Amino acid sequence: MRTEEYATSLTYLADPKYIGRYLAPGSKETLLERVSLLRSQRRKGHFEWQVSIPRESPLTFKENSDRLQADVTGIIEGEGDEVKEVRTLLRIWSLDEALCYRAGIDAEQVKSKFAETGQRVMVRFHFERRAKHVTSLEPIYHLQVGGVALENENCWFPKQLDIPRFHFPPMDIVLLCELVLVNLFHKSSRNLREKPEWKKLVVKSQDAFQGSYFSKFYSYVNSTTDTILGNLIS
Amino acid sequence: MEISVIYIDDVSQELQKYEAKFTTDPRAMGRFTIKTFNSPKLPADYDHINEADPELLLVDFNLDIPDESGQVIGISGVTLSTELRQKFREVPIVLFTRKSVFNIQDYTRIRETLSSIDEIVYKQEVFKTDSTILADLHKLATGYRTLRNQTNRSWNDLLKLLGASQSDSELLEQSNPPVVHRQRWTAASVASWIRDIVLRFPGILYDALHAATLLGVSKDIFLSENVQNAFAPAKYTGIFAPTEGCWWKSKLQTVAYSIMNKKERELPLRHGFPAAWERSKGNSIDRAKCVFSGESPADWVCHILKEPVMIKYSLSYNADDRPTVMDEARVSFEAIRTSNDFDEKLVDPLGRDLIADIRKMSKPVE
Repeated sequence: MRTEEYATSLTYLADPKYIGRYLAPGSKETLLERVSLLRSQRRKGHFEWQVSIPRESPLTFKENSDRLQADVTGIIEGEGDEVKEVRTLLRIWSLDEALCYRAGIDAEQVKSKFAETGQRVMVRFHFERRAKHVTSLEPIYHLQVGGVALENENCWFPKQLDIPRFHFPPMDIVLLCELVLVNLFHKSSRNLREKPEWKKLVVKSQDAFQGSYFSKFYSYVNSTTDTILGNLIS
Repeated sequence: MEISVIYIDDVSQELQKYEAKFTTDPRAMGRFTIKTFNSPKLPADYDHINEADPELLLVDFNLDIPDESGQVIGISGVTLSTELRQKFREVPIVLFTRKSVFNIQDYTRIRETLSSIDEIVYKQEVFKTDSTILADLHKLATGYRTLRNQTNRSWNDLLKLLGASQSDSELLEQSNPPVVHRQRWTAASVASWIRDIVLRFPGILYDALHAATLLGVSKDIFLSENVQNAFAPAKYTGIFAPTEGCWWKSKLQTVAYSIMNKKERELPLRHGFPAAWERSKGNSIDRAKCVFSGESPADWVCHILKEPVMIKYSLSYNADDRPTVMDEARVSFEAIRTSNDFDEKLVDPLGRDLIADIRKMSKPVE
């Protein structure tokens, strides 16, 4: 995907006609700021480009009817038209105390911290590419549940427990937004998800970020020499 | 309720002709008292108009004929309207002209850009037997009269005039009203907002077609007596209510849900309501049918063809500057393929990429 094309996709994504109306205040601006940064790299003639949404300033969705709130962060890097790296994180926060703290089971600190912030990360998903230095067996593109949480997330997963790593296609910002809409706003986003323009936006990201993954994946499905996972970790 | 009309023209035959029309036409009788004036040239002329206590000003567009003393105003009715608006801030001003003289193409979106003109009426329309122009002019003037007579002019007073519920008030607040917190409104600005935004764009109020599509039924079914009786509480009866009727979207939903049972309420409204109606009345009803695919119930209205359409067979269309709280304008694949009114430039680039494919694709089989 060309950088300009991706910048345009992200600009449309931020529009109230698309996910803009599902975003928490300030998030639309975060996204547009990142688009502007992406475009400025192109203007400067950089061959390498990057879009990053830092955890300190995530793309945050509004709270849904179950008092759950999703946010998306990550880094996407490319060289020219080629996507080189996709590392994204989806966090699901709860704003419901009953869900965040179990009296008599969880530590009081969890409760007091929730009282301070009013939210807690309940589950987090890393969509990553295998790092270059990694020697352990893991699929090139994978999903890891958990990971290292920030202090304000009020959540803890043992650092040592970084498995399992499921083979999973790369998920860019657009694809993660679709995932959030389907899971957290499935009724209210129905009209949006029906729109041909929205489908086009998602399909563009599918093509750019998942096309080669699925081509390889399907070639492994019929492989007689190794399993799908065996192929993906080799 | 008689309305005092002032008609300004520089052709005496025209003045006589329309004075007679507004006096003798059965559709006008009891509604208007009319006084005619040549175009004002001197401050005293404006004083005479003012003394007539106008409640509706009709202004001819073409004002280039000299009067008895040989004087010509030297400006068009459009320009005169801005002068009149300064002097009559609480009175509707209608550009009353011949279609052959007033070339609307030269004044694109004049009603939106020129706040001095409330309406453009072609003189010929008044003579058509099926025309509702006289009734519409009366409605415009009585609406203004209601606004003019309001001594309390806060946002809440305006909401009362509209008959808005709490939830509708919140939506109205997002539709660019000309009322800033604690500020008093003026009749002309409020009239323009109600007529050009609230009533014009679907979102808060719906015309019959949008209301029918919301409920998943055909327009004919929606306008049938039984359905109209059921939805009477949803009808908009506030200021400037159009002759053809319009309905609060929120109240349509409330009435529809009251008819639906628990299982039906779990469905989208356009599926649940027709099912509920058929269950309670025992006869089947026509659904809103997509103009492109024939599928039903359709879930949107094509901006160009004014027909129901499935969202999946439509594209976003930037046809106007409607507030985002209003329903998005969408154009059906059918209009893209068949209508001369379709303008590709008004489609988002994302949608524009799809147009070639839409023109080539075969229609889905019903």
